[in-house]
Amino acid sequence: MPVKKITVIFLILCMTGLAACGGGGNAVDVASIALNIPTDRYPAVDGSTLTIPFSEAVAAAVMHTSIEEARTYVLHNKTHAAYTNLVDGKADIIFVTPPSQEELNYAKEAGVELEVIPILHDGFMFFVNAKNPVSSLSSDDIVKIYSGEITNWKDLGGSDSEITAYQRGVNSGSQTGMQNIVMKDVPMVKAPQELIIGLMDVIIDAVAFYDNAESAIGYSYYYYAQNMWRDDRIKYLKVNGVAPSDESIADGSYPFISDTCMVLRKDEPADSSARKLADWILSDEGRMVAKGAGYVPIQ
Amino acid sequence: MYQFNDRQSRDVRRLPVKKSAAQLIFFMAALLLFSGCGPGGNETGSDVSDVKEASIPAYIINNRIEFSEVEAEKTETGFSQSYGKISGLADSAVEEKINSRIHEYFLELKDRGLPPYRGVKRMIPDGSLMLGKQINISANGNFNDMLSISFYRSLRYALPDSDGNVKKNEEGYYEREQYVSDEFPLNFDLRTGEELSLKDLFREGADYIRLVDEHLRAYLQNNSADDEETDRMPIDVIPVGPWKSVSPDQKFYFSSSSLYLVFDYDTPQFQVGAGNFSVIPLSFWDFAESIAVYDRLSAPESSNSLYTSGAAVKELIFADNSHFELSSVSENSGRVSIKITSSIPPNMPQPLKDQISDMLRPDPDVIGRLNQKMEEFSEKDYPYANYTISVSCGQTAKYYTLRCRTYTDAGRDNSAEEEKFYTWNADTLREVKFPDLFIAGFDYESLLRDLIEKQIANNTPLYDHGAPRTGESLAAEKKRLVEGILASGVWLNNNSVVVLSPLTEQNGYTGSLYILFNFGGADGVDSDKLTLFSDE
Repeated sequence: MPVKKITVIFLILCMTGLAACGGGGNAVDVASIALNIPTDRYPAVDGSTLTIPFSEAVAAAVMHTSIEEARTYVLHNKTHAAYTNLVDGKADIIFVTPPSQEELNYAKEAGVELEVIPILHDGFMFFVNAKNPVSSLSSDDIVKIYSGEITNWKDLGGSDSEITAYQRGVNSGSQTGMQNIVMKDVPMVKAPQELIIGLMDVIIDAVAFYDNAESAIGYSYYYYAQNMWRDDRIKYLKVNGVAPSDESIADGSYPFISDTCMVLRKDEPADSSARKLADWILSDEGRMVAKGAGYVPIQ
Repeated sequence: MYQFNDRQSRDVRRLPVKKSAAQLIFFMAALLLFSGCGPGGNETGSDVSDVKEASIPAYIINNRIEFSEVEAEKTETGFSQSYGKISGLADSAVEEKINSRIHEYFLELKDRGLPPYRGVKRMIPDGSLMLGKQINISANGNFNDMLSISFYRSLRYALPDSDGNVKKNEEGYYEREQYVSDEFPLNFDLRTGEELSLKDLFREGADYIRLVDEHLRAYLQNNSADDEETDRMPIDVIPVGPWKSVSPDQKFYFSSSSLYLVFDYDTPQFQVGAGNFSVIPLSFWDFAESIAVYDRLSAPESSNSLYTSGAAVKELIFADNSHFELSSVSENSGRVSIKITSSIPPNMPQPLKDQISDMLRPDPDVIGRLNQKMEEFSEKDYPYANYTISVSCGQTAKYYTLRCRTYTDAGRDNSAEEEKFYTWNADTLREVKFPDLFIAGFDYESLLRDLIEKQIANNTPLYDHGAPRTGESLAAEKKRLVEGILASGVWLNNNSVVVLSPLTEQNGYTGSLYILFNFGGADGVDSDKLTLFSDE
């Protein structure tokens, strides 16, 4: 394929928004990319739903093909299935959140050692209604809100109104993230049923325009709020004076950060396509492609 | 205990009903759902919540064309393919134009290979053997001088093993098979033969893309999740990237009450099921002020000139139930397992919700009787009696129409079922009884007697202690049946009025008697004799 055509294809990919050019729309001249894996040698990739755009951008880049063609080789079966597929030998490389104890146990029982390599950062962010005068909280304030110690906005420099602190369902990834990344050992206050929202997009709506929205606070993963359901009626809170952004998440100055990893079997041969792909993802080229797809690559 | 509150809004219906092992939690969750608690009932921030009933007419008129499936090929098992054709249009050129397009599209689909779904070459790698290709066609909407059809294509492959060979096992079956499917709608204007675009379903000047986007977004928010562990009722359309808008050439088809958006490899912003398309329904009732499909109810005289024969056939319009408020509550009382389910339209008036709350309240006498009956059975043989109350309420034209079913069982051969129908005028909230359905002067009692006579003649003689009734006994029983139906409630289908028929009452079950519109005489009643189709 002529070089110019390939470049155009990748530029188009970024312009369509499918690749989520949140990071500034970096165009990558795929013709110059050193790694070239033919379509029939491309490793069996798997992963979470949220890493599909990343996986497709990577596939198109290293197969030197269009995003439409690359897409037909990218099959993500969600996080848990991706782990089991990797352990069972049905996948060669997966893009997921770090393994749970259950997944580690599954690998151990199968005699498979996993190689977990962090590749992308995501921020765990808090938001309030755009009309709420409060714009910044300390990480301590947030823990106190969600442990029930602070219940009124006036204690945080806001108006005299009770804080409506939405939570997510117990088994949701966001609730797990809230507990592990933010609350850590402090138990969250038991929320009444009406403040527990099953879906992340609904929590954004709740803070954006429900009846009591102006006194509400909610939380979400940055990538999701920024790229999937961006809503101008909510305002991202600074935490310890730092606003969640591509930059603050990338440089680690934002306090609440989670990782997305690529995982391989540790015995994956050095000359295999999966290993070559993993090495390339960690390269400057790989990070540039990730950034072009709207993610925050780990430096 | 089971109370509905009129502050319910789309925000309430969007709260997912979560499964839980703890019945109490489940019960409380359902109670909250009914009572309008939750994230609030605000309407200010979005305009997708209003169900604008006023602009939805009472009925559509079915097209007087015949749509038939034509088998094109059936060479061997797994390779059956068919397309469709219409007949009955007065303008033969328009009819030919439509039939040519359908056939041309069929030939195009017939030659298409593997659909380019995300991951399809991992699912069906090179070296796979095609075992079958089926193409079928169906009509989704055929009314108001519009026709909405779609081709469904299904491909079946045998997959190679790790050596690249496709093998059969000892029983002669391929060991690894994989299906993929896709769907291709076609929508026509029967007046011109032109294809309808998404824009054509909306009124001139309507910002149809924005409207569809808003409702699609609301639907996705209601049904999909950002993460993968949420306990929910999932759909298999999940945004995987920031999507801004549907395309003007988005695949769609429609029925008389809904628009259906088809998501597949042409909409890669969404993850759909592996190797399969997904369809999202959006109710026309949500677009009431902008939708044009009902404006096409042309005067019968001009519509008549489109067709070669037949009289106008009307059907009532259902409200789409995609965002009805659903609830399911379970609890035990002694050895009685009580399950209460309900489905009601959004924004139902509070007086009707109160009536429904009463219907959903378990009867303590029934619980006591069932517990007493269960004393005859060991807990090992029959741990629990069942007591189920289910209410399903729909909105048909300007009516709320409801079926309430109560089922009990307590051990072997002790089951009973009761069903009741109710219909209310949505404007006056008055209950509609059988006589209210007919225009002044219409002899509905004769109609009912004729229908009962026909049912008796066909399959249900009237007995008295095992002996067929005759003479005065038969006449008295018929009179009792007619009076019973006249005093009972009705349920409205889109093409019929349904009443409970004491004729088929047996073993604790009651059957239904369907009175079809558009078929006069013994089979039903002409729609012009019914108040249901009046515009008032």
